[in-house]
Amino acid sequence: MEMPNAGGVHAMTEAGGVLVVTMPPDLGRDGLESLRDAALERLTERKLNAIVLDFSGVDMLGTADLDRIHAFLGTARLLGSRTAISSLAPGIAAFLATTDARTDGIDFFLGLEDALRRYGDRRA
Amino acid sequence: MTTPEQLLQKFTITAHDLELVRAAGAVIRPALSDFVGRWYGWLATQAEMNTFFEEASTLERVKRLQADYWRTLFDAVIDESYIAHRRHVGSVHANIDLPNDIYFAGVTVALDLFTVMLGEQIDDPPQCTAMTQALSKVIVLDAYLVVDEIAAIQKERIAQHSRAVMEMSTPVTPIWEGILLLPLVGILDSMRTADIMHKTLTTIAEMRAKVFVLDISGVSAVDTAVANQLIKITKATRLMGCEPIISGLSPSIARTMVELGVNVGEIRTTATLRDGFEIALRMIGVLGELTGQPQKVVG
Repeated sequence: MEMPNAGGVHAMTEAGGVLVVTMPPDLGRDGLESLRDAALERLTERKLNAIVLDFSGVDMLGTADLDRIHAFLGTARLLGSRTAISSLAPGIAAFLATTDARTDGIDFFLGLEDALRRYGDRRA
Repeated sequence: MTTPEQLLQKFTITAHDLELVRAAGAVIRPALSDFVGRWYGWLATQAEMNTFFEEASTLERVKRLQADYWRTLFDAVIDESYIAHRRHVGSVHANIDLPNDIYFAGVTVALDLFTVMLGEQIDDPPQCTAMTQALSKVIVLDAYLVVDEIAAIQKERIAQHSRAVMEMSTPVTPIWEGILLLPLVGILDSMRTADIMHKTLTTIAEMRAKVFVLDISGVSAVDTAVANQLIKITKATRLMGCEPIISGLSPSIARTMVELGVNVGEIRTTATLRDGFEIALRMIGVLGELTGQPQKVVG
């Protein structure tokens, strides 16, 4: 089941009780807010076990973006969901580690399939 | 890139100086073969002579080339072609590893011989002095071009060696399906750390590695900066979804890290590579297969 956001750029998919959000390469503040609202609503309505943000299409990510994503996923955890990020590009991972970006509470996976294997079909 | 005009200005060589060099050339050219003979007479007294001119044919060829070299100097046309030729001479000197002392001594001897030749043939002392000074400026410019090219070639060689050493110093190797090993040896600095970070993360993405073992048994010293860099590498590894293990912590390094207050967080550390490898095998579930015991699997 896919649902494009208001801008029609990113997509959300459910798989085995996990909400998978495919992050667009050019996510701005407004785009992230609409994505967050749509994702949190979906998590609540569908009582999903986890949310995974898939970054396979993202080459660049700033610390401000990550702070917003961290807050977004923190909200998702308060709603009882497990939170993860998959498929970070090496350059982004190096940048985030070097700048000591906040990543607490988020699980990281090499690929989306790894995240689905971990979280899939384990309803909260 | 410096233009011929800029070089002439920098070395304060005027059009009048170039006229004086041409005038000096008119005096010296007829005796150039005699000059070359006397210059090689001096070189024969130097130990380097036998090193660079083992064969008589080589010596004769180089003598001819040197005569041509001085002829172009006395033409006093300093343009792109002239500069390129002098730089080529520099590259030849770099290739034969000509020592700087013998090169500069040779330049000094050549200038002395020219001064004597001009003094013998020019009756007007002020004119002779002016010619010698102008000639000195052009010879110094020549020496600069030659040495600058030698330095550039040596710098490039050093850069190549550094790249080769860097390549060898970060051997991120898959040692098992899903397990990468990086045995670190030597001294860590920020440049090397950045290279390790880049290589490690790229290899993790390429090999789809689940576990990364960073073995520091060969690291000579760990201070706060190095420890923090290692932590950042392992943190970045974890952001890629790959579980890091730091192995090979000697008691002294472990003690130092505690004393420095380095926080390794949740990163697994072991005293030996063997222990680290065992944990890595357990993480990917292989140890269970090998021992027949159920194991927790990463991912």
